[in-house]
Amino acid sequence: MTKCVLFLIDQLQWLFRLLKIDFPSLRTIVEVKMMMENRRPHSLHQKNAKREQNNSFIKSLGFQVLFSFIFGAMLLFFEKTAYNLYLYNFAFIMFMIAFNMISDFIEVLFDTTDNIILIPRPVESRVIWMARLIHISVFIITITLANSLGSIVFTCIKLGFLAGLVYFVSVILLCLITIFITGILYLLLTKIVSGERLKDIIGYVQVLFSLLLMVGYQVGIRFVSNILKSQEIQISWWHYLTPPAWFAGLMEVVANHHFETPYLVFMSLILTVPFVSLFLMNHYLAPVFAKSLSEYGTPEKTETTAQTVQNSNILIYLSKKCTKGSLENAAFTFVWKITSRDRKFKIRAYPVFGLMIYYIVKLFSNDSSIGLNKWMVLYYASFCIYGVSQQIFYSDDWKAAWIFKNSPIEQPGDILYGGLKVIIIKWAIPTYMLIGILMYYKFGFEIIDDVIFAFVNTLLCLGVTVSKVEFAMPFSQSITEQNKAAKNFSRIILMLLVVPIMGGIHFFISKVPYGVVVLTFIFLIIALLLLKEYRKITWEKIQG
Amino acid sequence: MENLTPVITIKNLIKVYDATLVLNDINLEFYAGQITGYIGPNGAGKSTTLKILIGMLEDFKGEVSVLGFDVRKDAMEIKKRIGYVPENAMLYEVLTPMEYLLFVGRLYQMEDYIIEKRATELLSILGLKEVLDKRMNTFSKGMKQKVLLIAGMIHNPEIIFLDEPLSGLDANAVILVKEILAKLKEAGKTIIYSSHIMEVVEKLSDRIVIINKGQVVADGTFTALKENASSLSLEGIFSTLTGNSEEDQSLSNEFVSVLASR
Repeated sequence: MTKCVLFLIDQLQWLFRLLKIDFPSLRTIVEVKMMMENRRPHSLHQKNAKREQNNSFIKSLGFQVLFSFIFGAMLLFFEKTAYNLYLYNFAFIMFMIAFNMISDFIEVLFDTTDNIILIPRPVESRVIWMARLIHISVFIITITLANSLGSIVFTCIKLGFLAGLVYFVSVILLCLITIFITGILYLLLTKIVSGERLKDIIGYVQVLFSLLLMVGYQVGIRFVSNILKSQEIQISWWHYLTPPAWFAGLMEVVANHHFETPYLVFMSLILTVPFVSLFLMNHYLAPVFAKSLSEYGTPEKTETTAQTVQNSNILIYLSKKCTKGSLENAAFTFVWKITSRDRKFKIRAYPVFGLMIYYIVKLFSNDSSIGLNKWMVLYYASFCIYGVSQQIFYSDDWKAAWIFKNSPIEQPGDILYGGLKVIIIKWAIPTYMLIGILMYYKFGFEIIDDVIFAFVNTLLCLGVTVSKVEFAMPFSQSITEQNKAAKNFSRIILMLLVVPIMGGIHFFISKVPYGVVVLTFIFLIIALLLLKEYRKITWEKIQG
Repeated sequence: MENLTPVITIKNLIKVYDATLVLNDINLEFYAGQITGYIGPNGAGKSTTLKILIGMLEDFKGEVSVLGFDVRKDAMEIKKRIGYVPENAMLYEVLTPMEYLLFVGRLYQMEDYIIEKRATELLSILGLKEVLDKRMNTFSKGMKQKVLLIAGMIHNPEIIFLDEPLSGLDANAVILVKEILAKLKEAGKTIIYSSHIMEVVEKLSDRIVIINKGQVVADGTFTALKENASSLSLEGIFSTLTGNSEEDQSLSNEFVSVLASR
C-alpha cells in the first residue's frame, strides 16, 4: 500500500514541482502518514479490525468489496435508460465517501497533533497541507474503489469494458469533488464556530449520517424497485448541482450515446469542476489552512473555549431518589454525565435508533404490514436499549479507570447496578413512554399492556446479562478492545435469540385472555430479582 | 526512629513480570510522619513498589503490610486509609473537576457536602477556581495534575503515595505543592513519593531510598547518604549508585562528536 502510493506520487513529481511544493519533504511526510494509517482502526468497520493490526484496513476493505457486489448487482437489471439507476448508484457512493470523510478523515485533514513535530522543522505549511490532502485522498479513493468494485465489474459486464473504465475514472473524480466540498464546508464551519463546539457539531453530523445510513439501507431497496419500473429520464434543475447526476449523465452517454444539451453540460462540469476546485483549494484553502495551523492547538486558545457545565437539578433529584448508597449514586451520576457528553459514545450508541424512527413512520403510514410493524417497534426498541447498555463500558479515557481499582470499593456490583439504572431511567423508560404515547394514538388504550410487557421484557433482557462470566467497570474498556470477535459473537447470539424469543412469547401470550397481564407481573418480578443480582458481583468477575 | 512502630513494612518483596525480575528482594520499613523520596532510574521498579503498597498488584512474593494490614488480605482497609496520585494518570476528561472529585469522593463513601466543600476550597487554593465547572478536555497537563493531586487526598488519608507528583506543574505550583507536602508531614501524614528532580528530593525528604534494577542500593537521610558516597549532591550520589559517571563522561563526549561527523 505505502509503496504503491509512493510510486504514484513519484510519477506525479512534475505536478508538485509545478505547484512549487518541496517534493522530498512531501514524500517523507506521506510515507510516515501511510505507515501510521495502516495501524489505525477505522470507525466504520471496527468489527473486522483487530487491535493495532497492520492489515486491519485490508480486512475492512474486503468486507466492503463483498458488499459492493451485492449493491452493484442492481446495475444488471436496467433495461433502456442507465441514468436513473446510475444516479442512485453514484448518490450512494458519494454518500459513502462523505460518510467516510466525516467519520474518519476530516480530523486527519485538520489534525493539530503533528504540528508539534512538523512546525519546528524547516517544512513549509503548503507541504504539510498537500501531504494531508494526499493522505486523505489515497484512503478515500481506496475505500471508495472497494465500495464500487462490484459496480465496476457489473458495468463491464453490462456495457462493456470501456464503460467500466469510464465508471472507474468517474468514481475517482467523484472522490476528489466530495473531498473538496467537505473540506470547504469544514473550513467554513471553523470560521463560524471554534474548538470543542466544532467537534460537537461534527459529532452530531456523524450521528446523523450513521442514522441516514441505517434508514437508507431499508428505504433504498424500495427506491431501486421504483427506479427499475420507470424508464423515463427526468432531469430537474437541481440535478446540475449534484455531482452524482453529472456522472449518471456520463454513464447514460456511454450506454445510449445521447448527445443532447443536458449531457454535454454534465460532461463539461465533470471536466472542469475537479480541476477548478483543486486550483481554488490550492490558492484559497492553503493560506487559510496555514493560518489555522498556527492558531489551533495553542493552549491559550483552547482554554478559553472550555465548556462550562451547568448542574442539572433533575439529575441530582433522580440520583438521590433512585439510588441507594454513595457508590451507586456515584456510578449513576458518573454514567449519566459521561453518556450525555462523550461524543464517541453518542456516535456508537444512537445511530441504531434510526431504524426505529423508520418503523414508527411505517406504523403510521397505514401499511398493510401494520401488525408486523407493531412488533418491530416494540422489540427493535429492546434491541436498541440493549445496544446502549453495552456501550457504557467503552471510552477513549478508559485508562482513567485506574480510579476504580484504587478506591475502597468492596462491591463493584454497586457500580454496575448504578450504571444499569441509568440505562433504565435514561433510555428504557423514555423510549417506551414515547412508544406508548405514539401507539395510544394509533391503537387506543388496549395497546398499553403490550407496551408495558415489551418494556418488562427489555428489563428481563438486561437482567439476564447478570449471568455473564466477565464484567467491566463503566468506561474502562478501550474501544479497540471492543473488536474482540468472541464478545461480538456472544452479543449477536444473545440479540438474535433472546429478543425474538421474547417477541414470540409476547405474540402467543397475547392470544390468551389476561395472558399478557399475568406474564407482565411474573416477568417483572424475575427481571427485578435478576437486576438485583448485579449488586452481588465481586471483584473476581471484573476484568482488568 | 527505632522506637516507633513502622506504618509500612516490606519484607523480601519479589515481583516477577513476564519472566523478568522487576523487584528483587526489597526490605523496607516506613515510619509515620516521614517524607520519603523513593528514587531510581526508569524501570528500576519504583511504580511497581508503589502499586503493590496500595493494593493494586496482588501477584508478588514476600510480606507487605500497610498500617498493620496485609496488602493481599485487607487491601480494602488499606485503600480507605491511603491516597495515591499515579504518574501520567488519565482522568475522565468530559467531566468537570468538581464532578470528577465528587465521583472520586463518593467512591470513598464520603458525604456529598463534605466533598463539595473540600473540593471547592482545594481547587481555589490551587488556582482552579475559575475552571471549576469547565470540562477538563481542554486542561493543560499541569491543571490535570492539580486535580489528580486533590483527588488523591480529598479523603484525608493517613499515608499518601505520589508517583512523580510534580510533573507538568509550573515553577510556582511546584513550590506550593512542596510546601503542602511539608505541611502534611507536620500534620502527621506519611508521604512516600517518587521523582526525577533530584534538587526537590534532596530538600524535601527526611529519608531517601534509591533503588536500581529492583534492589535497594541506598537508604537513609541525605546527610547519611553524602557521608557514605563521598559526593556532595544527590545527583552525584544517584549517578554513582545507579549509573556510571565515568561512562557518562565518555558517552557525552561521544554524543557531541557524532553530531559533527559525516
